[in-house]
Amino acid sequence: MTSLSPLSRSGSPEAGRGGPAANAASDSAAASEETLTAALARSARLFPDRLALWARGETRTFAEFWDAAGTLAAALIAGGIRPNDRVAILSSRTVTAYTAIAAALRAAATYVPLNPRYPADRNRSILAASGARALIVDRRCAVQFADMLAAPPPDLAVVLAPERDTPRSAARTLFLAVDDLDAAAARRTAWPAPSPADRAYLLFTSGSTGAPKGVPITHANVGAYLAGVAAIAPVTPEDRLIQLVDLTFDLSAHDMFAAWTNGAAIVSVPENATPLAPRFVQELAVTQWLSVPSAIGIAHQAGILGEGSLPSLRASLFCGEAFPASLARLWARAAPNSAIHNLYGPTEATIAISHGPYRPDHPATVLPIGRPFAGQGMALFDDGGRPAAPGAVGEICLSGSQLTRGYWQQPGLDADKFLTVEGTRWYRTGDLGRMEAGDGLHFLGRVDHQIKIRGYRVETLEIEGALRAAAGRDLVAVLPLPAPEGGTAEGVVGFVAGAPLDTAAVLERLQGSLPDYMIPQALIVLDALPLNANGKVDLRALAGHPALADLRARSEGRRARRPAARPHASAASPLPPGTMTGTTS
Amino acid sequence: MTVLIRLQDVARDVFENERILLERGSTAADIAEWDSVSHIALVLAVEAAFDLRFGTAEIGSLENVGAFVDLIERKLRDAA
Repeated sequence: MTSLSPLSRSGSPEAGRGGPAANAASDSAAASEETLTAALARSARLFPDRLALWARGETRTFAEFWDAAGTLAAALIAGGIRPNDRVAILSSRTVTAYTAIAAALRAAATYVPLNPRYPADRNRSILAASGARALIVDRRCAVQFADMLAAPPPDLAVVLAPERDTPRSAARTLFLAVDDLDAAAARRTAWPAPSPADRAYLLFTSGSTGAPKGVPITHANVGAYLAGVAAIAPVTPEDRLIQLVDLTFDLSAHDMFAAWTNGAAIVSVPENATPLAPRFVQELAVTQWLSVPSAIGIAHQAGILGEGSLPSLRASLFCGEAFPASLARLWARAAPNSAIHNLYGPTEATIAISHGPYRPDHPATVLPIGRPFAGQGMALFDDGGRPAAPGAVGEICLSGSQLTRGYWQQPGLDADKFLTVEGTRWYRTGDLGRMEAGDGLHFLGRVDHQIKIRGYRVETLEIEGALRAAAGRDLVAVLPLPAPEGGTAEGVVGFVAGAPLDTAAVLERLQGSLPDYMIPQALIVLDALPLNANGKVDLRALAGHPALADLRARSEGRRARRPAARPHASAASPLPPGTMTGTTS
Repeated sequence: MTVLIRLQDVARDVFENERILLERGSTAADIAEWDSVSHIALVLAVEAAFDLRFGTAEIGSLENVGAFVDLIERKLRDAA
């Protein structure tokens, strides 16, 4: 691998040849010297009376926020929590949750978010895998997860929860009442100082084996990210950043730390109100936005994204899934004073590592993911682990100071997902990309989302783009039919949000833009597409939709009766009420 | 007609299910059609039906039918 051509922020692949690791080492050094803990303390000192937090109508200034975090941190330390211990947090997005995060950092510990919207077993699994020694629980979750709290893992030394609602727990668990904590203890506490190389948080993402995999992120990783993203969305103390995602989704770290390290505030939208987020922008004068692109389609569908309706926004960032240009146009119309950027990056590379600006005159149907932040590296590798040929599709690999040191206690996974080439450590994303002059990288879907339809290699993202244009709908999804076995499928099924829809007309239009094997065999029109806890279209839920199961059953039946499947077989039998389908025959 | 009954009518319309029966303790978990997206449709439909607007601090508190009813009644009283 001697001809590696990584992208660097400075421009062409050639410009970054062999250099991203060196760039990362030098460019990120300054940004990584200050820990999040030190930066929060600085904001509390410089801006004590400025708003730090709005959550469910409650507000906290920086002085109030940091003091409360100090009280909680002192209790953690008194309870035996030491630097680098993990502090799990089971809370919805309340003042308690944010105070707990700041407290963990103030105690030089690592916060581990759990999620009240996860099943208890998944939270239990994360709690055990993290080896958390403390657990902070808000009142609502103490009731909801009584069973889990009653039998915590043996590593757990301290539980902080409202006493009156907390179930009795194992003997080693110490109960403290949040309301009764000793505020004076913070003044007596000798505060440990984390180093930039210490972990700030430990997030768990879905693992291919079914067990969540932990991704530890250090203060230096976050510092490098914040330095990079500041180049496109600088934050000042006057800013207000909206928070729309669960704390288990790493986009939440952007909102919190981009704001709090700069003396700015976050406006945390309650979980049951995220589709109404534009209203929070209007009423609370929010200036910066970060969400998944699907949020635009949902707000548009709800009729709350009128022209010029979000004038206070000056930076809008979208991340987490492919960003259709049709959604970007809607957002540009609603937020005329805002720059719009498509961010890209996995949790393993700390929130996001590249960006592509929205340009209204750009012909692409999906926004490019662009170029890496300063000091970070991106490159394309082919199936054989060699640098992809110029213009060819390859797997996107990442390098630089934002990369995690490795998965949490899973060295086998590290060997599979990280590789070292010419002294540079690369993370294999499993995403496909193609380099295009002027744009940087284009995201082309997941390696494991490529399917073969009757021998043709197909990327479902391409079909989604065509379907979006043909249907005139923003929220669409495409799934294979039937489920690929051995990498093959008979065809695909399209899902479209927003009834009514003339599906026959849509399919006819698709015939003008897609080869026949890529045209969906059926369209299923739903009032809304299901979303997962991160606000993305929930493909797993769609895969379980009864209409799809029915189509699959009939498809498999046809295959059993015929030696070879004909393309575009009809879906003729009745589907569940509320479901509309169209077929190509 | 009580606020609860009017709210039930709105919910039946939004969720397209005439058999929905709301009680003060009803939550999204009790009604299959009540997900995060339809919740917003419900909030907007309630605002239109009762000619009121929920504030941002109020929206997050609408976690069960009783909270909806209490807030609607309070806002109607305040507006009178």
